[in-house]
Amino acid sequence: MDLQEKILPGVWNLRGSSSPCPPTQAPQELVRILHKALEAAQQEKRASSAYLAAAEDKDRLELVRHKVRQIAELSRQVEALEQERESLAHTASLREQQLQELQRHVQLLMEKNQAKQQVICKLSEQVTRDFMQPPSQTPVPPEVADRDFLSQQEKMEHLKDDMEAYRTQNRFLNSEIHQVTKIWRRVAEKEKALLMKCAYLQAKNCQVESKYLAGLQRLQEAAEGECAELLRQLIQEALQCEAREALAEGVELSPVSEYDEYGFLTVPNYEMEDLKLLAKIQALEVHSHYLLAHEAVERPLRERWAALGDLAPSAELKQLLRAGVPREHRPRVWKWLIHLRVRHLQIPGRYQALLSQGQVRKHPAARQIELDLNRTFPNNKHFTCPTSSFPDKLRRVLLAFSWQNPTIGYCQGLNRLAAIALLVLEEEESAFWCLVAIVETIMPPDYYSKTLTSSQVDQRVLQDLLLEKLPRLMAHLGQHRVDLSFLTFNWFLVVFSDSLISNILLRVWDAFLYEGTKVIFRYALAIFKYNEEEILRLQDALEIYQYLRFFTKTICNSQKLMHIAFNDMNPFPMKQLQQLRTAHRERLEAELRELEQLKAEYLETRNSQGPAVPEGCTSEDEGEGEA
Amino acid sequence: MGNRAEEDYNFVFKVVLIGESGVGKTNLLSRFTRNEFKQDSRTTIGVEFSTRTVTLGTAAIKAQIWDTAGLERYRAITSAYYRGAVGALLVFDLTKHQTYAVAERWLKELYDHAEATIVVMLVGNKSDLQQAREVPTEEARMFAENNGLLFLETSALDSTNVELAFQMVLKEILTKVSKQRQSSSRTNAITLGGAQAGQEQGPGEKRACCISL
Repeated sequence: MDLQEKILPGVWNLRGSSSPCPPTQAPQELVRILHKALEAAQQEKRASSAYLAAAEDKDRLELVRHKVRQIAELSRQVEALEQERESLAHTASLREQQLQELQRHVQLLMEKNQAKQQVICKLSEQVTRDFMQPPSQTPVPPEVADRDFLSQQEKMEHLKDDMEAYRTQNRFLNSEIHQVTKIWRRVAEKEKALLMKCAYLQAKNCQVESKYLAGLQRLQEAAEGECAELLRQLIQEALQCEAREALAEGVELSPVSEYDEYGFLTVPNYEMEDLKLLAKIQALEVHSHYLLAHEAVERPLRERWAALGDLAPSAELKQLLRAGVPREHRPRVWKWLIHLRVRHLQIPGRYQALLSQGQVRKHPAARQIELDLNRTFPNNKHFTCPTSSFPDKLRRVLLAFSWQNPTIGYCQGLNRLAAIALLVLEEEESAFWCLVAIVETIMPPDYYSKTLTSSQVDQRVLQDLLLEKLPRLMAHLGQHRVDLSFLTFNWFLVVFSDSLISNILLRVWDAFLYEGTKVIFRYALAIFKYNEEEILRLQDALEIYQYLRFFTKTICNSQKLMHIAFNDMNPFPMKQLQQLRTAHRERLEAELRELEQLKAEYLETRNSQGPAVPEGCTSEDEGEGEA
Repeated sequence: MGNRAEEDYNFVFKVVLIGESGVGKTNLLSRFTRNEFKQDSRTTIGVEFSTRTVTLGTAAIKAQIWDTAGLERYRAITSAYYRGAVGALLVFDLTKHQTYAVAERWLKELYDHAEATIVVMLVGNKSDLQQAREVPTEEARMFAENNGLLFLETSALDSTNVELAFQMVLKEILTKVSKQRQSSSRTNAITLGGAQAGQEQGPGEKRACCISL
């Protein structure tokens, strides 16, 4: 292979391609190319000689292969380089673009700058022009200008004076406001003190009046002859004075009103003539306690309740509930307490479903419910007023409950519970759930059922607790053979709603809804403790019974009662209560079984001997089935 | 707290009022002891009681009247108060036959828990509602006669026969007591008359509450 043949076309080629190059570069380039060609030729030569030198075909083949591989390698490199070049070209074009953009930007800035300079120029020109020719612009004579200037100055002086004056005035007014505020504060404090004093005096007055009435009553019992007539007159006056007072007084002094805030009569209806005075005395005492407690106790309590955010079970809440919920918070708090107990039962629409169930079918309890509607709290205006919606609400709540709990259906006493719930919550569905909460979650099972077993058990438990906590009283009652269960049975079944004045009753319920039946025991004990001395003084069973009929309503110091219930009655472990309940339940059930047995035996012996007492005639037997 | 006039008495008679719910037991009681009638007296839970002293001849009698709840499920509790009772008024509502129809059951209940010698009067109440009457007088009278009961129709609303009813019962008791005192042994008289409220009859510890003059 001829070397020259190989080089020359490359040279020509180069020549052809580099023709536009400057002539000075050409020779150098040519030299370089030639060098390269030479190198290549030499390489080729080496390769050829190697090829020739190879001994065998196999080696040659190997050589060729090696070269081929080299060529492939080289072309790959070329390709890579080509790609590199392309990417570089790409970046170059990008740079180019960037550059152009930057240039445009610069251009823009320069233009802006120029414009600004122009504006500056114009403005400075204007300024200089203004400076140079002010007179030419205001062609006013100098003296006029002077005058104008002077008047302006004068005006300014005036304004300055005014400002000063205003400033002084402002300072004065500020101090004045300060003073007035101080006075106002003082007056407000004085007013508060006066109001407290007024409440105190009113309370005092009530107490004095009640003492006076008590004195009259005592005298009435003892006096005879002409004194009796005078006394009778005085009593008559005392009982009537209320109406006149209310008319004469211009200042509103919160007299004893006829109904309390929940609509209960404040003067208990004792019916008997000689108890009327007593009732009035009680109403006065209650009112005086209310007046005294209102400022001293209620206000801080109200503040604590207002400060309390979201309700959550806690020791603090327990204390607050024991102290009583202010009226404005009570519906909300009760709803929360009830929800806490019945949320697992509260299906949306449940109440409506129960109501419509009642419309389809008549519950056997409906007759008794109807009979009791007008006999629920005859001492409360919401249940006696013919236009009130409460009886209707009560009917629906009780009917719904009779479907909710068919084993209980309806039991007298539930009407009282539902009525209290209605008076507080107003809304009937909430009252319904309150009733469910009490009967199904708070009270032990079997409390209102056919046999009232648990209620009877609790009376015996209370008996034990009374013996433990109030041994002196129980010895006294035992001596006179007074049985308390006729009284306490009612307390437990209706949670005191027949017995305590509403102010105290609802406090008991506040704690009861949170803590449960233990609260009933605590208060039952506390009520006896509260009146212990009074009962101990009575030395005749009938008198004691007579006293027990109304003594719960004489309690008017709720603070004192609460303190007895939750402090004096401690320790009061739940475990003890549970143990007593279990023991008494077993005993009661055994007794009932024994009684049944005795009855059966008695009947047997009587039947064998023939009837001692005339039995009912057989013709009436049919009637029994109708019930 | 009672009137001084009531302090002195020779006898204490315990009388119970029984009968269905809503027949007017509580109003009969309030009419007799306080001469009052309330259209809506409240439902009685368990038992309540009231007293009044009446004079029969030379004897002053303190009537201690126990008013019981009529509702069936309260029977377990109320029947305990029949103990020691010497008189009973079995009340029905003469405008509701059902309340009369169960009279026999009430009677049985009473004899199960009270003394066998107890004086019982069948009382048809609400006689002021003549046009709504469902129980004929004669039918009730027959029933009373067959069972050895006194019988009267009353109206607590217009007071008809209320006073008389109680008086009759108390007189009958007094007669029984006197008879027993004269004829039979002393213990019997005490059993009938020794009725302190809610008190058990312990033979050794009688209080002298029933001394005749």
